[in-house]
Amino acid sequence: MEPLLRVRPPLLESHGRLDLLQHYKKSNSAGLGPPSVRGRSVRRVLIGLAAAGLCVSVSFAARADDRGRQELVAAQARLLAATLQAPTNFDLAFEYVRVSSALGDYEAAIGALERLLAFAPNLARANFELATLYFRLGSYDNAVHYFKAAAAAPDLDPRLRARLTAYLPEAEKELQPIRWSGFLQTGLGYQSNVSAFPNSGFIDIFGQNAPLGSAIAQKADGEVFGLAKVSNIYDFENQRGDRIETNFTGYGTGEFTLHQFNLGYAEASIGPRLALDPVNWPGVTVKPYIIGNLSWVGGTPYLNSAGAGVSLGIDTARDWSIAPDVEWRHLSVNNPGPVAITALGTGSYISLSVSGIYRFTDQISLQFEPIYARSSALNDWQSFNQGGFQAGLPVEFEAPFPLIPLQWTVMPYVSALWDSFDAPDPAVNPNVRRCDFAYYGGVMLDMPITATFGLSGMVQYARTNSNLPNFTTDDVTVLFGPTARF
Amino acid sequence: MDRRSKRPIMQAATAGVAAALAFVYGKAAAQVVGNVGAVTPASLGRPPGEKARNLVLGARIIANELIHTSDAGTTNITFLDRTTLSVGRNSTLIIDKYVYDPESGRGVMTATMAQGVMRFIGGQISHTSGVRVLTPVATIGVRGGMMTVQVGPGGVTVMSHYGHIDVANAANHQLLLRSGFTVHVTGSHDWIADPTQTSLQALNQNYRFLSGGGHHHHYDKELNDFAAGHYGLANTPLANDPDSMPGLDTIGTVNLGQSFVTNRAQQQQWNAAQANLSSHTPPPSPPPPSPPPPPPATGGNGNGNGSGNGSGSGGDNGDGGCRGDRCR
Repeated sequence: MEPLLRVRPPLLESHGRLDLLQHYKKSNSAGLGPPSVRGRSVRRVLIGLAAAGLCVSVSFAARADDRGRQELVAAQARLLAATLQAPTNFDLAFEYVRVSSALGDYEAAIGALERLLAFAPNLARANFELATLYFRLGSYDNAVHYFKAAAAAPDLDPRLRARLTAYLPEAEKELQPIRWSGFLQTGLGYQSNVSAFPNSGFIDIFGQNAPLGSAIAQKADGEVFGLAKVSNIYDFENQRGDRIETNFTGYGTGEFTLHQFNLGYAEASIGPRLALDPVNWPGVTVKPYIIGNLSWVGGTPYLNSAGAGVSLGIDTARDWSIAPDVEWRHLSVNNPGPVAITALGTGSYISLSVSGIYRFTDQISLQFEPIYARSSALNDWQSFNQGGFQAGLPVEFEAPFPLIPLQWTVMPYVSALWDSFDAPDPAVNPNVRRCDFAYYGGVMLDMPITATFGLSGMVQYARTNSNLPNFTTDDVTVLFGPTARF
Repeated sequence: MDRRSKRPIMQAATAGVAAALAFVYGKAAAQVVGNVGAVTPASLGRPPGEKARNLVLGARIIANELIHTSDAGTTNITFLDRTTLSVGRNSTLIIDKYVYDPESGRGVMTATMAQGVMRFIGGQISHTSGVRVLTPVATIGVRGGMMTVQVGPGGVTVMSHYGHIDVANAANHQLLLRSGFTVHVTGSHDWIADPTQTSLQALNQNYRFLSGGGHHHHYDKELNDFAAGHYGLANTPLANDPDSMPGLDTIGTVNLGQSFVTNRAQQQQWNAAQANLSSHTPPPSPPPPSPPPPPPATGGNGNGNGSGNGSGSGGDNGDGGCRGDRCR
């Protein structure tokens, strides 16, 4: 059975857990070595308080939600009894539809609306509402039927007609056995510290503080960038819902002045998503996949990888879904120098993660992904254990202009990762085993203008605190540009 | 067996179902199970033990009531558990059994359809105990679902719109677990083929059968778009398709790319500082030797390592370059 809501699995599948490795950048502003024990304690207390606050808030919200739901259930029963007695009291019928929809009882709302259409088959809003209800249930053929009926109504609200330009093609696409989806963006960007210059102005080398020469300095730079994510679904059209999922991600930047830091990145994965037991466990799937990536920095190869993983998709409830994932990759890293000193050396990389989505409403959801990873590089000082999470809170809201067909989205997000390396790096400091705490946070804004084109941007602050000055950095990133989606 | 030779069998089966309906409706007690929520003329109801009556808006439907529509009639019945039946033109069906306990939300519902088109939208009973619909050639079990059933001389067609629907006859059964799929049963002993995707043409044809085709002008005052808008109909937009939107995955990609640049930059910083140090001070003791090269990738990695192996060579070349730099 198709998921009840149209949250298809961006979090239910791996696009490569390497994306959580972004903490190897930027340094702390003080750059004075390890953070103090007191500082760590304060940070832990603050994180604990924040977590406790979140738990309490969620608990209160859940209780209030339960009370609200009970009231809606009672109202629905009252309205049903009333409409049975007075079927031509359309005020009652409309209210019954509203309450049933709010409860998520889309079948009851559909039944009532189809009854209303028996009186007025051309009621444009009822046809449109029926189409969206069927869409939410994954009944795309009925959605297409009612969208077309709504489109044929001359008095359809212009705002709804604009939405039709996005919704009808989307419903028709869902009926195809081979389906393509994609998001493309290009634009201009800015980074305050492209060169990853440590704020302290010096680095450790063989245990000694070495000032960085004048040739290397913290440099901001502008860039032009391109981003693409394209996915394909090949639907076997069996009742189990089995399909092959292929995903491609590409990202590239061209710096205005620091061309040695131009980036190219391409990643692809493919694998079948198979229902485990569609009769007894509908919505539970498993997806073995293979994955690989190529990347270039300054025009020369940097990190290439190939591997495989297994993801379990648990999409059984209307308001939440989770996807545990385990992935292994072999990394080949080319980072020229007398001695490799950075993280991510050639070797293997294994990650365990759980992607989760909790949907407060159709428009607001919480995406959360805890992760544990183990990098086993050829060099001990490049091997590490990693733990952390990333989270986002996408909030969809109505665009300020009524004829824009799709919702705009603002998403605050945050990520935190802790790393503990296996051994000191003699070339950096033979007495200090590297430990990092990296985090970033920002806001992304996506503004579709038409069903296909729009604008999107993000502002982000990232910081890495390390007990070695070499790796303590911070950076501000701004990206903005036109988008296309299909 | 071709369709022409099957027609007499179908007619006999239909007559048998109708006879069974007549037997059952004569025995049942009067129990209200729902109400007529919409109706067009020429729809008849025949409560058990009573004469046929014209169905009117709000009329109570009794358990075991025979419902029949003419070629111009349609009716919509809303049940106590929120189940809705839309009965299309030229259709005959009976509600064989309907028991519903609103307290527990459980119950039993069985209907028999002799001919015509019916859209079933499941209520509470279908979400708990399940609902059965009997036809001349197949039995349909519905759990938490919506479907359209068409019974005609050529057999029975079941279109799934939502939920789990089990279509069975004497030969085999087929499960419809996905919406947008159709099963066709030609005879009670004929093998039921695998479900196929519902064609929009067939769906639209059923909608035509289910539509009374009439516009009730005397309801225009109450039923217009202004009223619908007032109650917030169609005000809630669909959620955006995450596959076509930027999200945490795109944020992750941007940050991953930046981390690659950072790693390269930090290596270059160290290289430059080391070169600077070397030019001013005696060289420090060399770092420990590099460990041996990694074992070759196992065969289990399969083709997926094709590019990985290739890039692995690239990495080796890079290491070679490092050694070369040191030699210089």
